[in-house]
Amino acid sequence: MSFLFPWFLAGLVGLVAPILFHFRQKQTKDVTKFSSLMFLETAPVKQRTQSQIQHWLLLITRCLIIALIALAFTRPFFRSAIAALSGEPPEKVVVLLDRSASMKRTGLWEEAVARVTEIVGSLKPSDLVQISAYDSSVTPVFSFADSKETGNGRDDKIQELLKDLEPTWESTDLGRALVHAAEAIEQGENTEGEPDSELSEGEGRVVVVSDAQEGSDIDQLKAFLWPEKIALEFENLTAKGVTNASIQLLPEARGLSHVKQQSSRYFRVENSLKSGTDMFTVRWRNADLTSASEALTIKVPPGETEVLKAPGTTTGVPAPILELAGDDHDFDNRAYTEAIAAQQLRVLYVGSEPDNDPQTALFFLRRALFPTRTLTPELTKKLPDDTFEPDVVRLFDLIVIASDGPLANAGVFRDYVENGGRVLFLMHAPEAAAALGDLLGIEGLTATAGNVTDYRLLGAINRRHPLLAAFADARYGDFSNVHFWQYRKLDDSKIPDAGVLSRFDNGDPAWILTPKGQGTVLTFTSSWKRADSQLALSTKFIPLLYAVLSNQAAATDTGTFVHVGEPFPVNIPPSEEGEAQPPAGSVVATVTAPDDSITSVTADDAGVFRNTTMPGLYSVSVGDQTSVVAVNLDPNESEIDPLDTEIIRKMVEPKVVVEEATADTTPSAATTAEERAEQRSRAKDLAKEKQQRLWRYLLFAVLALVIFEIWYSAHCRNKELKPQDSEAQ
Amino acid sequence: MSSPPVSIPENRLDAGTLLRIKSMEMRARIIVDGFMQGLHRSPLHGTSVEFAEYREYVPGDDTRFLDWKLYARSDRYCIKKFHADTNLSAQVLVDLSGSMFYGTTGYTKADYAKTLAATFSQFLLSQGDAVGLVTFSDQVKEVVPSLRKRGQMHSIVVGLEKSPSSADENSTDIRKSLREIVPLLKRRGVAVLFSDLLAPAEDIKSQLSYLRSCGHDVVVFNILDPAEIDFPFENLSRFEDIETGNRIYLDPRTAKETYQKRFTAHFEDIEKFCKSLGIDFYQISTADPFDVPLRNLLSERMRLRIVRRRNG
Repeated sequence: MSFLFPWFLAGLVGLVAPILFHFRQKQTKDVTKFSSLMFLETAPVKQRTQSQIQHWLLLITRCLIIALIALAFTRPFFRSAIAALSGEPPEKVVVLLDRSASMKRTGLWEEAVARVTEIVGSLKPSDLVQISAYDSSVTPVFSFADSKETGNGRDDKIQELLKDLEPTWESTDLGRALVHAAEAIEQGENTEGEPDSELSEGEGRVVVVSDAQEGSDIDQLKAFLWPEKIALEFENLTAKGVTNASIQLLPEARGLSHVKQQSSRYFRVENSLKSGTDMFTVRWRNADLTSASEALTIKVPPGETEVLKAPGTTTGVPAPILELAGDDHDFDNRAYTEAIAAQQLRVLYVGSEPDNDPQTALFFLRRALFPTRTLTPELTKKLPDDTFEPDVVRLFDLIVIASDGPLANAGVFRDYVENGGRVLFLMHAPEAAAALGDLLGIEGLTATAGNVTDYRLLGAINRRHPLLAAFADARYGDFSNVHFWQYRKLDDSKIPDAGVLSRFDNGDPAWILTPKGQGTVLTFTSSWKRADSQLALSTKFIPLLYAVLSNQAAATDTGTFVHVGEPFPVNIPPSEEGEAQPPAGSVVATVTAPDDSITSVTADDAGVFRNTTMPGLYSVSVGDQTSVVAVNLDPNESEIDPLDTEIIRKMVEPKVVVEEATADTTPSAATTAEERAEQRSRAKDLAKEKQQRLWRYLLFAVLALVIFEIWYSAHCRNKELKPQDSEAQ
Repeated sequence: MSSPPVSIPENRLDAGTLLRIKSMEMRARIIVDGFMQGLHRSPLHGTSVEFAEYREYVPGDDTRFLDWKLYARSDRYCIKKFHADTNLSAQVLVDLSGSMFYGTTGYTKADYAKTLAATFSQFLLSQGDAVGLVTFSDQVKEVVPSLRKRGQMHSIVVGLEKSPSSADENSTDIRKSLREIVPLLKRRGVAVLFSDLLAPAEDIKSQLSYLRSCGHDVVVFNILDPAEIDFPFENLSRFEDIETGNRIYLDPRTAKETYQKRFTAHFEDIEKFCKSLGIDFYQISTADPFDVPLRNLLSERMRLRIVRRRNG
């Protein structure tokens, strides 16, 4: 039997107390009142000697209570004797080596590898060891089966394998790694990572060699029932510098919220809690790392996060890299962003209204189509009677038809829609129903003038539709200020597949979305010209128009970043009609990584590039078009403050205890290998003791003895108080 | 030690039962009702009632008492003497020192003494005797002059009930107390002392002789608790003096023998002394019924009267 705290055995000195207590003259506390003591004198009371100790059983009980309490405080446990005698299988140890991006900090990786070597070296040759490197995924390096096969050459083999490892740029999923390790111990994985019943016996231990940074993801551990027989130890590494600030560019809104050509980018700087400085500089850099802006000095107090406006570039052209300087670790000091190319949007207005007439829909449309950073609309006006070449019409992204009568070139526009074009059809008169019928291929479609006594409001609005998603928020969805003076009553039931996006307050359809072939026709039964409604003058007009233009929820669209390890889509243009689909396995795009390695995206990849192994700008070439995708470091990796192992303790407790053996690469905190080995051994003992918890049984025994002692002493006392009994004795 | 037993009715009440009656006056009356009246001879000679004797006139005698008829017949001046017209004048002295508040029978010696005192008073008053009361501990507490008036019993009962009822701070200095009591007894008569006499024998003896020398007929009722007589204690414990609060640690089984020896010697000494002075001494256990001491006293008195008449 071993003891965790053997010095508590000194408590056995307390055994003297009950012995002395039993030797002590019995001085009763009973007081008998008597009328007068004049006839009494103190009679000598017989002193007890050792041979006169009464109540031996009581004395033994009391001694046992003290001895057991002292023993319980020493936290006894059986180290290995029982295991050796019972011939249990050797210990299985899974070493989890953190190779996430945060391990790129100076000196950490070398220290981590050294620790792993040390841990493996401290194991018995019969022990089974598994090494797994983990970041956002778990990579087996050395399995239990390898350990069994290599035998005595195990340590050398592991050392050789560790040389090939290096930290990645990915985030840390500690939870996944722990679950994987626990399952590996329970199931005993073989070389192929499959369960092996031969290796599933016996207890195990998981040793995590990591910088245990706060940004580690432990969600998977929450849903995992940690096996009772598996101990968990942490070998926490601390980097030399504690000052680390990270930078992230905030997503840039790509819709209407940024209408200026020269937009301002915002970035977030997070300073670590134990940081030694609060002053940093931020500057833009070009892709070739030449400076693109003046350095901006910022102040971020330790433990705080600041969102600031990025400096402007000296050339006025957006630079792709925002770089932070001033902290100890530079692995997370760059934020990458791709330049957003403004999308050219060609709009054809087919109508007979004159230009610059403020009463017309065209007047407002022309003014509403201003260029933004993401969209460059280009409006072309044509009269309904003009000639429309199908090839020319196909070039337009959107056709707005303001019709007040039959449409001469309805066939051209119908073909346009059926081939994927989008048409916004404005009914300026009930007679326009015929034109709409021609466009949609519906015969006999008629409309009448809508019944408007004063004005109409929009009643039901389908805000769930992507086109109107911008108005889903109650703050922006109030159309009660938009009055409609006149509209055309169209029976939507006569239009197959018609989806009414909005109805007037009397139930007549206002906006009807009709799919036709591959395209869509959006019909406004009342347009935004001043005679029809106030729509053009309301705040809803621009978002609605841009939603139609970009065919998406424009106002809410925000850009998202791709993080290392995450896939990003490669925009492969749809194949032309009649053109054969690319054969399986054929290269559809090539992606050039920041390290200039080129990866092909084949038709099997479903238009997704997955090999984002490092942060930086990825150049995607599809045909003759090249675009840039920025891949950034996961912001969680920058949270290098120590992880609160108490959280893990709660998840793993009460089955296993997490113990830390902290080691520091700083010279002041450096410990020798012997000391660390001792620490490890102690942590092991602690875990064993926690598993066995013999002290609980000892305390139960103490409790039972105390109860017995109380009962027995009361019994003895009662016996003494009875004179007859005393006389009899 | 005590006088010979007298015949006792079978149906009498024991002390514990009587003490459960709250009214002391009622208690006394119940006990007395069981008696037949006793006769007492007044030690004083007074006027009227009963002629006693003649004696020759000496200058200074009150000329009112000259028997002029006798002078006419015999030409001699004689003073006519009569037995006093008063009956017995009794003073009941009750010791209420701390030790009197000890009791193992469910009531204390003081309770017993008070009831006994009230019983005596009731008895004497019912015979037309004058009765007074003095209670004392380390000093005189209550004094009720010896009178024969209506309501005297009530005064005595009030005096008894006003007296201390617990042992707090009561110590016995019998020497000092009796010194204070003697001047209060203006008329010679019977002084009936109820006390446990737990004080140095010499002090008690000196004060009793002083009382006797003042011409009082003294009767001492030594009231003791059965535990004081038998000392039945068995367990090792601290014994605390109820008067002084002093404690001694002793094993009663070993101390019992010495205690009983000293106890017996103490009271034998006092009884012997009382007999020598003609003081009636009765030792009573609080376990005894209340009428026992009365009967003993009366029977003794009657016996003495017969003896005196025979001798006279």
